[in-house]
Amino acid sequence: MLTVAKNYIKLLYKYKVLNISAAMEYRVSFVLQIVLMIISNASFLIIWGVLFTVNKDIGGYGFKDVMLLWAISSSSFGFCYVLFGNGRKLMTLIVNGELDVYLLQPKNLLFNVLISGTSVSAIGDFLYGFIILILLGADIKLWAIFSLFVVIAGVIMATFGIIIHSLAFYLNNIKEFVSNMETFMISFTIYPEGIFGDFIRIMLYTIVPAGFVSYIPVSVMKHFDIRLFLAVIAFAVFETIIAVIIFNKGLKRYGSGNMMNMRG
Amino acid sequence: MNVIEVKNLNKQFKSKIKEEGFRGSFKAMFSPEYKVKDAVHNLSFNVEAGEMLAFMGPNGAGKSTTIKMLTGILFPTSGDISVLGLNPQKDRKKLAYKIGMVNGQKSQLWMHLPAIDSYKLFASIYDIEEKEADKRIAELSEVLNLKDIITQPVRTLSLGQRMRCEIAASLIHKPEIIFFDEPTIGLDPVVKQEIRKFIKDLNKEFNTTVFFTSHDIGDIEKLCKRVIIVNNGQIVLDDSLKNLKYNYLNKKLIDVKFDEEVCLDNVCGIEIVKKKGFDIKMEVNTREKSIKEVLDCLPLEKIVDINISDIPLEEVIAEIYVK
Repeated sequence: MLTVAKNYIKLLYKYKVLNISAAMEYRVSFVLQIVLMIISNASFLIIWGVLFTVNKDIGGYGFKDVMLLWAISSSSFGFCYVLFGNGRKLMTLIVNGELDVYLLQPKNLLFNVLISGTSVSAIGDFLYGFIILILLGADIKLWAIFSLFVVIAGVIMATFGIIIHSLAFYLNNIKEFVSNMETFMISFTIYPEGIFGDFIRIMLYTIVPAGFVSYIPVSVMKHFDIRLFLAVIAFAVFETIIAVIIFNKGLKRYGSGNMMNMRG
Repeated sequence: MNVIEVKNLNKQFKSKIKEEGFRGSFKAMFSPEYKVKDAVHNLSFNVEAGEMLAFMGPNGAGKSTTIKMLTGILFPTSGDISVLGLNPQKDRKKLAYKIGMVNGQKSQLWMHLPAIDSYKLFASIYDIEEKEADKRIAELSEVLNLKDIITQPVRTLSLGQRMRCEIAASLIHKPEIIFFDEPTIGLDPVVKQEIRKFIKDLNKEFNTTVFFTSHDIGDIEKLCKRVIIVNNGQIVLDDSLKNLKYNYLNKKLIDVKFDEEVCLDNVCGIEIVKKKGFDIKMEVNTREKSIKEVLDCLPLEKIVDINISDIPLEEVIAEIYVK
């Protein structure tokens, strides 16, 4: 068991080194992707800063809370897609029959597919959250809790992605649906919870679990509550199980293919 | 000993059908109709250890679907498959350590990096220790002549060089069975010959079972002893290449160069294929008339040159496809 885990960690490391090395072949593009992502994220906080000069409280959040919201959302997204970079391509791989290569390899299919890609711009997202922590002058406790939540929320983001992308096994090309759901997830995690009505808030703890990615983590980072902390871990485990079941069941419907690039 | 056993294998694909034009698209949105196609129908065959088998058929015959079921990529609709004593669908990971696949149309290498970086990753995927991996990479680069190209980004390699690198990638874990899906597609004759020689040596030296699909008859003639031809998902021929030639190559081509105009209209049992000047190309069905009988009917004193050859195997196989 330990050897298996060690082998998977080694493989994860090799994939990351290989992907980042491949991306670094085009060094200007590599650096620009990371830097521009940090600048793009920062521009949103500038807008929030302006809004908070008009109103000190938006949906129960102050400017520092929104900064934390952005920090956790951005870093967990970054963590998710640096590690599981193929998560955002999963639907395309399923529809185009591009899982063949992975099915021929003696590794857990889903894990192997996800880790074999790395999003370079997500490195910028990942770093951005930690830059905010520096700006906030966070203490060691906040750094520790934040880092833990980055991992757990990253897993929630990844498994949410697996679930929606795996629906392609049943519904075939669902590009727009997947794109909208991903946008919902990211958008909801960067706005204060209090601005949404009750119905949407129920959605944010079930269908699009933005609540577990950013609202609860921000609340725990402000006032540590072990029950809420465990609730996020429990949800991550639950969603992981659901994602694996849906993917594995769907895999039986996988049709492979002989992909040629065609129009339309 | 059989390393592949396939019994009553079936695979059906469901595909949406729609009438032409916008009306058809609109109708299909509300009441979609589906057609079930038998990609593979009741296929049964065995492959022995160390065998070099050609698995042939026209496009859409079910070759790739069969390979994908044998390697665990696709789930069969029904039927039994055993590869090296394992069920490819249930024991996919275990089987993957023992089989390899080279697809002439799909690359498994990182395009922007040298092949050696991909090989090191594959070594990790197959849990091969670094020292062992380095030794294996050195062996493969020696036999496949990769030394000068292994450190260049794959995107800068020619198609032939890339294919040699792809083959090495599939052999890093020393598979017992290797599936080649059109490995020589688009390659020049010299590279084709090199790759054929390598596959032959691989089979001879390590007794690796080779399961080969190709539309290039040269590959089949040079490499395989047994041929399975499938069409419409069913086996239409399963025989040795020797028997195939014996049973189907009953036609001969006779090219004759005469020194003057001759008339062969009254020579029965021949079919004039081409006539140009004093050169005549004729086809003889040797079951109806022997070569000797045909030669006896020709004006031997007027013959300048003569060449007797088999009908190309490609034409024979095309004829079997059509049947």
